[in-house]
Amino acid sequence: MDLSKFLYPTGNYIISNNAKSILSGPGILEHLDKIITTKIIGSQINEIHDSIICHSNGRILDQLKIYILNNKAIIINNNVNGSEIRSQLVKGIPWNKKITVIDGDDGIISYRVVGSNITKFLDYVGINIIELKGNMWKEYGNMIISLTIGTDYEILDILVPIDEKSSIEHIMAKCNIIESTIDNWDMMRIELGIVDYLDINNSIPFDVKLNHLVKLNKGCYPGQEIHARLESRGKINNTLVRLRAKSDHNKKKFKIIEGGKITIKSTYKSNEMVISLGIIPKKYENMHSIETVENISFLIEKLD
Amino acid sequence: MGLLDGSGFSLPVFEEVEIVNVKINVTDSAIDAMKKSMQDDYDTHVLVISAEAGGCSGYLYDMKITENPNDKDFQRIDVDGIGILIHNKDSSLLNGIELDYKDTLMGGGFQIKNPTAERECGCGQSFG
Repeated sequence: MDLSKFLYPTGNYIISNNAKSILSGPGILEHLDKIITTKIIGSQINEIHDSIICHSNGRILDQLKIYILNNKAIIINNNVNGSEIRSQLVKGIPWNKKITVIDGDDGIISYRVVGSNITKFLDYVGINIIELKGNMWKEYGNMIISLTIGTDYEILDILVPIDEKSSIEHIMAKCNIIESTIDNWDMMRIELGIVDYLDINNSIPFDVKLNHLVKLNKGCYPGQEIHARLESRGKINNTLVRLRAKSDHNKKKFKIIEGGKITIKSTYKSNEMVISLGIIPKKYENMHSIETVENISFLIEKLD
Repeated sequence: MGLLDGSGFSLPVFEEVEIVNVKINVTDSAIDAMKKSMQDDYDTHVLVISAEAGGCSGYLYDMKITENPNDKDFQRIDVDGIGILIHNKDSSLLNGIELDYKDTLMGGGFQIKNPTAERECGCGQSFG
């Protein structure tokens, strides 16, 4: 799939409906550290911390991007519904700690820009791309800007107060960044291997290529017992891949002839091809294709 | 700076915590152990039982003997002259617990049994 029309001249953006929360008060990193799968204690102001919250059965409740400010953290969920995470954050606050959880959904807009030439945007706002490397965020006026670098693309995540929507969209237009349709966005993210909530929800982190967000040496967090057991017993058996099939299909599960199953997580259709992100047994990851009992042949593409 | 210092817009504080009238059960051995720990401070001190984030199942129990905080957000349960406080925000998590004391060298001390916990981790410290 040629993505150049989407990635050039500058990029595409989408306004993501992901839930946004603000945690404020002294000791917020210690509080978060007891809940998330990674070690956030010791992180510095202006850092971005990527992490996961799991159920106690080890399955993913949500993936978080945490922007660290002074005695404050802005938490961007992968899910559109933040009430379960907020409830967990509030219930776990010790009675003698002054930590507040704020619902930011109606106050902050989150823009996600994907492109191959996003320095154009950064030049416009006067930020050198080097300043955003190493998981750091920068401010521009009232915006918070961060960068993720992929193989052939870059992602800018931009948080803006809701009343500044028109000014950021004016800058986007000036930089030839156009708003994507939902269909185009799904196509682009599946082709680039950018995982969404649908791809990871209720999965074991190891099955959806989020191993790097599981730190088994940080102490207890919900789900840690399960993760430690899977890891120590070598039971990390599945992985997330991109799958291409010529046959049109709407099913979510397929049986592989040689054993095991395919679980389709998200899909788009293009020119009689169905392209998906799906979980397969890890042993097939390096194969060219797999055949299913349902008579569908899937081409396998390993994700970075 | 709207996003950075929170000014420029006001956003709702999330406080979705269910408050229930707490009932707890305290065994005789736990009462004796509390009396020993508190010595003659019954009038000025209380036992605060609380829940906070942590552990493999989501929440950890905590118990502290402390000066009475005289805070209206606590519910007070009097047991044989000893004041036990549970904060309103922990009331739904701790309602119905049984506080026990085991006088054994291995795994001894105060123990909490929580009939409303959906799960507990192996060490018994964490519940959810």
